[in-house]
Amino acid sequence: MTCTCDDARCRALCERLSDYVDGEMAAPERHEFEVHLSECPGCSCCLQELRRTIALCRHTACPPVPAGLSARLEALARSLPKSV
Amino acid sequence: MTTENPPTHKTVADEDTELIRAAIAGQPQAFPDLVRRYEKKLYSFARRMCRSDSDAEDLVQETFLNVHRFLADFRFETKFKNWLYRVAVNTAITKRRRSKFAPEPDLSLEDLGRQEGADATGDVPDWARLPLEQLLNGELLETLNRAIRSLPEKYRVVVVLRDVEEFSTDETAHILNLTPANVKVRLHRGRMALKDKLTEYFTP
Repeated sequence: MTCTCDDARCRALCERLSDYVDGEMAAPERHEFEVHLSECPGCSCCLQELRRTIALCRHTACPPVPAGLSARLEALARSLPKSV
Repeated sequence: MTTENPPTHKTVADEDTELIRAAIAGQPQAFPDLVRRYEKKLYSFARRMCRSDSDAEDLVQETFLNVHRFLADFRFETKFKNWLYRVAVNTAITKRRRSKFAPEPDLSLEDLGRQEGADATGDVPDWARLPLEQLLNGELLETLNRAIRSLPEKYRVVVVLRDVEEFSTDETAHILNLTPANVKVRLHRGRMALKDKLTEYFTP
């Protein structure tokens, strides 16, 4: 299940969702945005999904550095001229 | 460089300053220590920027070679980490230019956030509502990493720098030589594309 905002106003607001989430929206616009969010389940849902997407990105883990790469980097670093 | 601040020659001291100065001065252990300090972070960045493991390993190696080559030009006017990522991004761009890949498409907001057959009720789906701990598992993280890697590069790099590596908008703009406004546009499009991919993953 996901939101579908097809209204022109929703589309315009949708483009600013990241600014809202990142706290990069001026106070009057923020207020207007929040009024709309309280009245529009579609945009509100979209906001929740976006917030969760960002939270998941911040929790992504990366596989450890392969031992072979680590060894190659160590050898490379030691082989380079000492004076950079 | 596209920061909004006027040019400044103020120096920035951080946890790397001593090691960088030692490497520039030619202390034998300094550069290997620097590599060890940043290999995990750079590999993590490279794994998300490259579509194959071997490309990621090449990118890490070439980045450290370029760091060694240009380290003497580092002026301590920014955090070393930010400069390092700038070198990594430029190395990735150069590698990509050398390849024969077709240009990657733009993402239009018209195409984002409106999947086929989507439910218009506006109910918040479970994946966006449940506690994060209930969602996090190996399969989801692999799906997310795959989704990040599938983004066109111009969006992927911004999402990785902002939402994975947690650089600020201004830092990201500096690393990528973009305006902050441009970073915001690309970030939003990248995030919306990822959101759509996660919605697909969670939709039965």
